[in-house]
Amino acid sequence: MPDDNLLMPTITETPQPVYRPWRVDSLVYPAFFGGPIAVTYLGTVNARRLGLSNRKLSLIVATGAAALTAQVLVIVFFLQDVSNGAQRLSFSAAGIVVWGVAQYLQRRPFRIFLLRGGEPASLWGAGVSTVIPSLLLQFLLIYVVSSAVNR
Amino acid sequence: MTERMSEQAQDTTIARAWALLEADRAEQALAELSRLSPTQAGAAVAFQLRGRALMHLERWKEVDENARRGLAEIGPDPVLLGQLGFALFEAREYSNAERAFLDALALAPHDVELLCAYSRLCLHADQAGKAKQLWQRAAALDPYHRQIMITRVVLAIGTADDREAQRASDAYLAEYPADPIALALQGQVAEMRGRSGYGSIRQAVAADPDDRDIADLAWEARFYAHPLMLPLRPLIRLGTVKSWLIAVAIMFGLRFAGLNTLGLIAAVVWVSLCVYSWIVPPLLRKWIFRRR
Repeated sequence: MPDDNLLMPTITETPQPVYRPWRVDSLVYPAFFGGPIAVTYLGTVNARRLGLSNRKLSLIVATGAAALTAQVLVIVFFLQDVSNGAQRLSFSAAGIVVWGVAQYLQRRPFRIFLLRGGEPASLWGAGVSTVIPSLLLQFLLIYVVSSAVNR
Repeated sequence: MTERMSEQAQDTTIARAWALLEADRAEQALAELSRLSPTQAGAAVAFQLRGRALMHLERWKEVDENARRGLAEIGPDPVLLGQLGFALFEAREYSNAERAFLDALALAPHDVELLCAYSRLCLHADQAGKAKQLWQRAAALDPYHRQIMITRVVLAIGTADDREAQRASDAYLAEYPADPIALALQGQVAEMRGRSGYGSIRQAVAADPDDRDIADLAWEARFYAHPLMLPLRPLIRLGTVKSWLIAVAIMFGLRFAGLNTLGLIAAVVWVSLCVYSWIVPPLLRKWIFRRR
């Protein structure tokens, strides 16, 4: 028989997640409106719901931290004197970068979830309740860093 | 698996049940099988045909019971073990299903249907690499087998390789142009890629009006084909990543070029489209599915 290893048992029963995951594509909205903090939080929660490994979870968190740092530094050093709109867009761009990584890591497990007949959860409540505090936190962070730099 | 069953279908009642199953008349095949004498009903082929009819009717609990009873009476049998594997797969008892498929494959290692079923099970258990290797082994045995074609499409969908899914579903439909599953998969893949698959799925429903999975797909396709979904079709076709990258690039570009008003208009149009995509699809889906 060729490659007997292929016919060895490898499947272990994994418990069904208590919470259903959100559509990975839908995470782009909190990314755009809430920036890197919102999408990092929601992306990590969704990764946990999809059963991703801790390594992949760490990658999402690391990308989120890097995007937030880069965004704060860009605003403090380059965009402080420009319009609020440009600052706002930099939030969105940083959020979209984090979402790109989360989407890349989660789209396959999410497809498997759908193949198994799973029905994704609605992101409305979680999305809105994450975006608002994330924005406040980001504004606070930028204010603190700007004050420190300008002192 | 099917050839082995046909060889054993010698008895007249059994042969009639077999013919009914071939004609997709599973209920009548079951009725025919219920007329068998207790001795005939205990034969391997009777259990196998009953299992196949129950599988066709998607009565998975009964498939499980029939296979277990058959195995207890006649001993290890690859067809019944395969049917038990399918029933457990449907019940999402993946490790038990694996045990049943492996026991079946130990008796029939070159059975293409069993290899494909095990491949799909591995995909569902998030073992895409092993699933692909199993499919390759089966494809080397019989590259144009229907299950090979189906499994290739399912593997591509499960690994989010939409281009390969398109190629695989095209190849399947070219090989089996009248197969309802080929038509349904062609439609499903088209929908995934932002194109209308409603036509193919409608043909699939016409070809097999009793298949519940295809009927569900038809409702899904009706949703995507609705005129209210037209504004979102370019976004679905481009994919979320590309759409967002293009939108953000346009908004940034206009702002940095000093075209603030145009930048604002672009942002308003984009946000409106986003809000539309949050509100309209769920409401439309509820409305369409309520009429089911």
